Amino acid sequence: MKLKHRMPFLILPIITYTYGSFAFLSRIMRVGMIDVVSQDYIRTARAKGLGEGKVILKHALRNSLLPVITVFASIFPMAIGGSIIIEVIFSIPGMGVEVYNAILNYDYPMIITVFTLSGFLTMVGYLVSDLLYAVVDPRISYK
Amino acid sequence: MQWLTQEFHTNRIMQNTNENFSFKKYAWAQFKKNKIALVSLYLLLVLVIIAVFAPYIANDRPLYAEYEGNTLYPAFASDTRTDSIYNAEGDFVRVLQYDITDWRELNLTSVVWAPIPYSPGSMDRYNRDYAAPGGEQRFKNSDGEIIDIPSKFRHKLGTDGIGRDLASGLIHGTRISLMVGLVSMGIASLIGIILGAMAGFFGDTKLKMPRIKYWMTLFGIFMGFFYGFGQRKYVLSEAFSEGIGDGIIAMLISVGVVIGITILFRLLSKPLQFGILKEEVSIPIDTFVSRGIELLNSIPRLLLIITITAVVERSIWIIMIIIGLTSWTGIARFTRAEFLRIRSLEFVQAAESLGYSSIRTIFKHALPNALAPVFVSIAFGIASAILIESGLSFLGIGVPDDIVTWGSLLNLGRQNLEAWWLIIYPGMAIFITITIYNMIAEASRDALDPRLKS
Repeated sequence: MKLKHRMPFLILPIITYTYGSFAFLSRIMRVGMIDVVSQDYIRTARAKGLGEGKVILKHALRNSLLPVITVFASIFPMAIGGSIIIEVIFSIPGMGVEVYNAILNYDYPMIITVFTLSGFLTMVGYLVSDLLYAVVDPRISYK
Repeated sequence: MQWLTQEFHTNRIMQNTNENFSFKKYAWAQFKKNKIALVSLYLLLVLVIIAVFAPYIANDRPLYAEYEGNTLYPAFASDTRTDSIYNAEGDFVRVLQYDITDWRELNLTSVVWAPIPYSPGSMDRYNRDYAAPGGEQRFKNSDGEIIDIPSKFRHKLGTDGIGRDLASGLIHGTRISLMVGLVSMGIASLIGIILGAMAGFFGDTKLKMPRIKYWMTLFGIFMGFFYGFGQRKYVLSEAFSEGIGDGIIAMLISVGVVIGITILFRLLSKPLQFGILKEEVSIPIDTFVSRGIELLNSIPRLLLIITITAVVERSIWIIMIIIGLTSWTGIARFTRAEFLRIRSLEFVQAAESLGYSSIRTIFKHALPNALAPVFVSIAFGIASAILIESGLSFLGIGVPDDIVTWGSLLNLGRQNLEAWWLIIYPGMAIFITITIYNMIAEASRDALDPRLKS
C-alpha cells in the first residue's frame, strides 16, 4: 500500500537519476562492441554458420562487457554525489539531502560518516567489478 | 581489422604528400570531416566572443550618449566614475555617478544603447514579479510617464522576481562558465600531467636516492605543507577575502614555503649519509600517485567540493581552484598510461643513453608525444567542470549571491515554477555548452587516435 502510494512520485527522479549513467554506459558499451565485432573469432563464429543473434549475444556481448565493468566501480560514488541535486529538486529525504544539510550546519560526524560509507561503496564496487571480470572472461582467475 | 585498413589509409596519405605530411595536419583533416564537431567549434568561438564582449553586449549604461552637449561613453568607463555635468553655457547641471544613474530617465539628445540595455544585477522595478518574455511589460519614459514598453527595452527573455533581466544574466553567465572551465582545468592539467608523467616515467623502481634523503624528503614535504598551508591558513583566507590578486600571491608564497622547506630537509640529509642510511632505495612514486588517485576517486567529487566550499570563503575564484584541485585524477591516469607506453620506445631510450637528465627527457622528449589523449581528457574535463559549477550555484553554495551564473538563474526558476523562461533558457545554455565541449572532445579523440575510429 505504502509503496503503491509512493510509486508515482518515483518516476521522474528515477528517470533523471539513471539517464546520465545510462548515456555514459551505453557510449562505453558501444566502443567495446565496435572493438569486438571486428575480431577474428567473430568472423569464425559467422563462418561456422551461427545465427546473427547467437553471434552477438553469445560471442560478442560477453567480451565487449569488459570496459563496461571497469567503469562500473566508479558509478557507485557518482550515484551518491549526483543524488544530492536530484534529492534537493524533488525534496526526497534521502542521504544526499541529509549530507547537504550536514555540510551547511557543520555537522562533522555526519559528513565523515557519509564519506566513509561512500568510500566503502567504492571499494565494494571495485570488488564486484573484479569478480565480474572472472565471470565474463574465464581466462581471468584469482588464485 | 579496422585499424589495419585505417593504417593502410594513413600510409597512402603519407605517400601522396610525402615530405609535407605532419600528424597535426592529418588530425585536423580528420577532425574537419566530422561536420557536427566543426559546427561545435564555431559555436564555441561564438560563446568566447560573447564572453569577452559581455559588458558591451548587455549593459544598462549606453555605449555612447550625448547629454547637455557633453559626449559620454558610459559603458566603457569604470563603475566608480563620477562626472560633474555642465551645459553649453557653462552652468552646473548635475553630478552623474555612473553606476547608480538611471540613464533611461535622462534627456539624452542622442544615444546608442547596448544590444541588451540591462545589466545582470540591475533591477527594473516596473517589471518585477516575473515579467514573461511575450507578456505585458511596462516602462517609465524620460517624461516620467508609465507606458507600454518600447521594443528596444523589452525584456526579451523575461525577468525574475525582483526585475533582473534574464538575457543579460545569461550573457554575463557565459563569461563565468567559460572561465570556470578554463581556470579549473588549467590547474587540474598542471597537477595531473606532472604527477602522471612522473608516475608513468619512473614507475616503482627507476627513481633512486639514498635512504636518508628519501625519508627526509617525505618529512620535508609533510613539514612544508604544515608550515605553508596549515600554519598560514588564516593568512591565506584573509588574503583571498581581500581580493583574488592578493590571494594568488599568498598562495604562491605558500607553495614557495613548501618547496623551500622540502629543499632544506633534503640538504639536512647530506651530513647523515653513512652506513645503512646511505643505501640507495627506489621510490615507489607510481604507487603513491596511483593510490592517491584511487583515494580521491573513492570520495564523490560533488560532495567533496561542497564540503570544502562550505568551509572556505565564498568566491567564484576559490570554486575554480577547488574544482581544479579535485579533478586532476582523470588527466593523471591518462598521462600515466601514455608514459608507460612511451618510456619503452626507442627515442626515450636514446635520450636516456645520451645522458639527458630525467626532467629534460620527460618534458622535452616524452611529453609532446603523450599529450594527444590528455587533450581529449581535458576537453571532457572542461565540460564536467562547467556542470559542477552550475550544480554548485544551483544549490546556492560557494558562489556569492550578487554574481549571476547559469546555475543561480536555474535556482531562481525553481522558486517559481510558472516562470518557465527561468528554467528553459539557462538549462538550454548549460546543455548547449556541455554538448559543444563533448562533441569537440569526441571528434578530437577520433581524429587523434585513428584506431578508436568507429
